[in-house]
Amino acid sequence: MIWMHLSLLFYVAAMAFALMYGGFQKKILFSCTLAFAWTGFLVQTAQEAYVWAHRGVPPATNLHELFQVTAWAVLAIYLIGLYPMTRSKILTFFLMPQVTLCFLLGFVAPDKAVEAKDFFYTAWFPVHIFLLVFGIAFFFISFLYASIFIMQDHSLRHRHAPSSLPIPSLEEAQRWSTRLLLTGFPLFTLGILSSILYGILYGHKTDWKPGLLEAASLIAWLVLGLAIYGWKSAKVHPRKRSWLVVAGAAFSALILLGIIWH
Amino acid sequence: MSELVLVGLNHKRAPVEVRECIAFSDEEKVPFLEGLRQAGLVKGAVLLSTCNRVELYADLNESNDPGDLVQAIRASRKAPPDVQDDVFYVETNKEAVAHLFRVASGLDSMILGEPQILGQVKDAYFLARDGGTVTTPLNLLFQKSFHVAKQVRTQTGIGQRPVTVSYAAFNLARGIFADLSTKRILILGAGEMSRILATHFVDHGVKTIKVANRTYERGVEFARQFNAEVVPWEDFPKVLIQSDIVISSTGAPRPVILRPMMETVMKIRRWSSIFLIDIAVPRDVEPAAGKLDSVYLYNIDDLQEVADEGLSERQTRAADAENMITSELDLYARFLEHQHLSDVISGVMDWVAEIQKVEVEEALRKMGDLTPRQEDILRNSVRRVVHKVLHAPITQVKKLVVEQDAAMALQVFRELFPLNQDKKKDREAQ
Repeated sequence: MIWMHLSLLFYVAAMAFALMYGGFQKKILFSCTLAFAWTGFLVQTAQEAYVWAHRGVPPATNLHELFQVTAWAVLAIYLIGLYPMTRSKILTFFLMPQVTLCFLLGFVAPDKAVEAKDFFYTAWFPVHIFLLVFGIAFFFISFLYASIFIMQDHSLRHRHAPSSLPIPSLEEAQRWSTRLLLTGFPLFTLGILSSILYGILYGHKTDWKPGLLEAASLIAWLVLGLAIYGWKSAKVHPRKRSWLVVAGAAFSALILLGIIWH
Repeated sequence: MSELVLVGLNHKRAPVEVRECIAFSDEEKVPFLEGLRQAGLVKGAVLLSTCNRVELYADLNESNDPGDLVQAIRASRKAPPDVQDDVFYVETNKEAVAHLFRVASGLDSMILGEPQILGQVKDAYFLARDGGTVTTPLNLLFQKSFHVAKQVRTQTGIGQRPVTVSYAAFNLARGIFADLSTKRILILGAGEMSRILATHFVDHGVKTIKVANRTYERGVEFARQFNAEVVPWEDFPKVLIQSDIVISSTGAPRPVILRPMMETVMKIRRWSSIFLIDIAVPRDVEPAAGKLDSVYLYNIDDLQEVADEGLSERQTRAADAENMITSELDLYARFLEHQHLSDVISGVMDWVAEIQKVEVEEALRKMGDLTPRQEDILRNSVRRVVHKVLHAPITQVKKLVVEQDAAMALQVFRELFPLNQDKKKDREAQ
């Protein structure tokens, strides 16, 4: 537990530097953001790996753990994939507060032991969890880019002077929002399919009672699917598409809350 | 002691007719500076000459008169007799330093916070340095001014907001598109404003430009300036489909780009963003076209509004910049005082070392045969005595420089030790 507190400390420091970077745009502030984010991420990775090895089940069995593993997945995507590709420093200004909040929510959420189900001890569970978590994490960053698109579009339409924050252009925000959505959607779909398939194969489908978790998953899947369809067919305008991504990401966040219900 | 002097004129004091008479070309600058030095008017100097200012930063001896520099500039430029001396300003020491800091930071520019001036100040400095007319005080001053200008720019962000219509349009385009160099511009109407805007975009990397003008020949002539392609006027709606930025100033009495046309264009473009810059009066683009998704329409008033907003933002930031310059000026003054103190202390130490050497050699001569060890003991003893005696006054003067009137402290220290007199005598002897 102490390691998770340590990670939180690093994430809070990274968030503070990211916010300061937004204000002052000094390279040193971004370097500190990156250094703290990486340190927190590595500490959390080690802790999650230890828990998994010790318990034999991925640390994603309750809401407390899911929030933290989602924050971890978002950071993994940014630090390992997105930042080396885009070199987008300002994204940390938007990303770090959300990652820290997500991680913090994990602390607030009850860490009660969930009744050990057979499903947890099968190979299906880690596959299911990681597909879903990474799917949601991709949606999460896609949501940030879609929000940036909406902000920029609003500012340009209302004739405001360009922001003093070096935020990505409309084109870039749209491009990355779409790419991340296209990456996250198959993962998310496979994540849902894996649990359905497990239910079918191992005969749990008879006692299946759909709740908030299932409803949120389905709505998120449909809304984000519509956003992808809009992009592919060019029948939905970029602004509306961005709103769809925002809405879809919000529903996918509800999936985490649906875990309580479950 | 040397004195730092600034002599110059700028757009606030002198109209363009005067400025163009006084301006120096790059080729004329070094010979002029060299001439000043050879005439004994300056120890060193840097000349900054741009379209908005001519300023001479000079390192003078106390005996030199800054007024001579005004006359030297006038004489070299053959300024018309009706140009009065009062168009020139003369600042000395701290005021001259403050002025250079403000100039380099863009606070004294015609367009507040514009960034080009720092490059021009640097060019002036490097030209003078290569010409061998930069003395140590000038070197320190200019290096410091570059540092201050950079600090002001990065910490206040004074240059971030656009303050001209063309820069406003360019900045807005950067908010829409990720890489302007890959974007295609369509210019409708070969007007002067279109030319200014297009030049701004070309200067920032836009490569593909097409021009459509009602008079084809005029369009060809216009396109030549940008190596652009000319398209017949009636084809412009087709070209609109492939264009990302449209600059329109046709002078047509009614809009030439209508909403239905843009609806069709946008569907074919798959709602890819388009930036319409309508600088024509009467307007060329129907306002309803700007309501379409992914169409960003700005007319001349919108652009002016963005520029005005930027200007007011810059004025707010200029106040912060002035505060920064004031504190940097204090730091620099303190730094110079320490520099002077180091010079004075090393002068005293040299003077004392010289006396010490002469006296010890005299004593050794009188004492006759001593072993090398005995000679060393004597030398070291005398040296230690001298250092111990000087330690207290040097510590005290350092304290005075930091805590009280530095100039007075240095003057007293100089008076205590006959440094200047000796040097003066040496010079007279030579």
